[in-house]
Amino acid sequence: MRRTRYALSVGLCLFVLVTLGYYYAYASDERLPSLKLETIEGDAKEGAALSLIGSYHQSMQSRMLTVTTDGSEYAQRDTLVDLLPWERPWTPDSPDLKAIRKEHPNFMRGKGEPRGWYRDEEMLVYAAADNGGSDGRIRLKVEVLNESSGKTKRYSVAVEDSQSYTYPYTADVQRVGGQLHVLVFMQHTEVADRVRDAIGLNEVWDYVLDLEDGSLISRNNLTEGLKAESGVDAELRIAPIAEGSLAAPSEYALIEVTDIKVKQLAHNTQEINNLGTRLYSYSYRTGERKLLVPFKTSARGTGFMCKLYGNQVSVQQDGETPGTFAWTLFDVATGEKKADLTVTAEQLGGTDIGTVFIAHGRVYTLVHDTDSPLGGGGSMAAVLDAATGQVLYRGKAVIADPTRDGDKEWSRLELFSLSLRDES
Amino acid sequence: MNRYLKLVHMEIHRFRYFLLGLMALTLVGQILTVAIATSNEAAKFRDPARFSIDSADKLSFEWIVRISQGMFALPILISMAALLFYVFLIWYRDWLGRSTFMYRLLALPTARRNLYLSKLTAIVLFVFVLLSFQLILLAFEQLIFHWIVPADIRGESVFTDVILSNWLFEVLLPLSGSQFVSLYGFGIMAVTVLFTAILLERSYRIWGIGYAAAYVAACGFAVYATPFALGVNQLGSYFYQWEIFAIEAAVCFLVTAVSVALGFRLLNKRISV
Repeated sequence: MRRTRYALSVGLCLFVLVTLGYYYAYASDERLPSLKLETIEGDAKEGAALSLIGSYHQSMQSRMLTVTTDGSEYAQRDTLVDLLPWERPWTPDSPDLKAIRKEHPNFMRGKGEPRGWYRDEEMLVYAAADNGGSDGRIRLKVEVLNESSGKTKRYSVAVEDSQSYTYPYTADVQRVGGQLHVLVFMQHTEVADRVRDAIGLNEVWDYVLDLEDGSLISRNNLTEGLKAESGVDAELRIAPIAEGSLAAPSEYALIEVTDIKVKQLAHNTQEINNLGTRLYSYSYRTGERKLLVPFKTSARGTGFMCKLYGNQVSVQQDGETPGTFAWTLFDVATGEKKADLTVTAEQLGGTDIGTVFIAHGRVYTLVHDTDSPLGGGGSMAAVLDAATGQVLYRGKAVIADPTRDGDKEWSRLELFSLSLRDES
Repeated sequence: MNRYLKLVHMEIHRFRYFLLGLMALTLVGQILTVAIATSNEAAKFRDPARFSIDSADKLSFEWIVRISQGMFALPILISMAALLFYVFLIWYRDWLGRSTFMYRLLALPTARRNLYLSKLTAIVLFVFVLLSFQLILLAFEQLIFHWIVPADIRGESVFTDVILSNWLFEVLLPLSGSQFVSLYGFGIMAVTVLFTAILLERSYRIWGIGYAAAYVAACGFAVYATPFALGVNQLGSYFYQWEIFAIEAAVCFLVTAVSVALGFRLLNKRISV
């Protein structure tokens, strides 16, 4: 009797330990397949920069995954940390800002503008524009960290005669010698019925500050004099385009100016037609705005993407026929067209174009083979030289574990996007 | 340590029939659900004209669990409510009745903190016993499914998919070990706060009800408000996400420590024979 007196309690404790221990040691492992990006053709170093994004569908669940030359990684299920609301979703995605956060975590605290960063060998700068003060003026808040001494300077500059602007956000920050250029995108306001509302044209201003004392030296309106050129009914849509690497130095910015026609439809909806786009370059050094060669959008649609990396402007859009994409390169300093190329999915080993983007002088693309029985296994990643169109790399994701049923696993896998791997 | 373990055993022994009842309720409820749902779905497979919802070729156990969310969850929710009620009853049953058992417990030649810890341990153990029972039950239910459904229409189910197909299983049996520790650590904190609130009520009687309510509110506010005070939902907040989580975890740990310490003090100083 004495021996069995505590049998229930001991038994329950052992039951809990064994069952939950087994569950978390073994049974809760989803045993998902591991994949790897393998080179089919070209320089493996080009493929090392790639990260394929997809999902694995197991019965009624799916898990996001990324595939690189090192292997695959599945997205963790939401933990309690992930469930906390978080207002800076851009920080995980940009390699520039990730590097800054790693090296200067305290400097990065409290700073929410993704495009408010500038970094070179000497200094790290953050600038943000707001108009939250009682006087309604645009205020520029700047912090400069000297990389060698570790000292920080802070400036707050109120811009005179800026009460008629609102919704300012920092589009770019650049340094030219001893001057700091803060590119701010904002909107005119007007007061009607005692209500201040943003109804004017968007404007882009370059505020030039002295890095020594933070004083405002000058300001340039990059959008001054711009007018719609496609008829009386046309309106202007303006968007600044800064250097693609968020914190990298650049001597230029771009202004994308689009003529649009807005048609009001039923139920408070609008139809917006793109009538034509012009691209202007702006030099921080000279303050000059120059029209780059206007470009035509593809007959298949008006979707296009402009980017600036270093001195190279790329305009990328769908090709004239399905399964193709085209791009044009310009030298931003001279406006000279450097390349005007089209590539077909067939040339890269597929039938459809999936993801395409241009960065750092390369064209990165994921093409799909809809005729492939392998589903996600029919996708091909490719890297091309943006200036010549030469294929530098082609690669495919493979299942790393040979014991897995390849056909079955590929029927569950879908690779739908491509990005650059985190460089930090 | 010996006396503490004996007190834990006493608490388990007192609750054993109730625990058995909850396990029986879960067993009967879920097995009936599996049997009925499986039979109905298997019949649909034999009659394609009635079959319209799922276009899969085979019937899987995961599908059965997915379409029976409510019936699977019901006995679990009843068990959770019963255990929550017992968090209060585990103390009050010792004070109620003609011969107050609490006086005999307080007169035992053991540190009074063992009373607190043994009751806390017992509650936590009951929760884990029911979780473990649920895991075993799922495996047994899958066997029942295999018995009912013929092999030609039976599809395979991965155990983790079965867990993920029911929202309550996904919450109570998270696949991540760290998530499990966070969730049940939070639950243990909540139990310690309630225990201390009960002891406040027992120590100060009428005024104790107010003290208990204020204590629970203060702890709840500290845990809830901390992330927002740290700017978790603000653009450009000073703290990073992982720092906010670490501070929140520290606050939860502090609330637990204060609750336990206060509970010990009340048992030692305020509650007397």
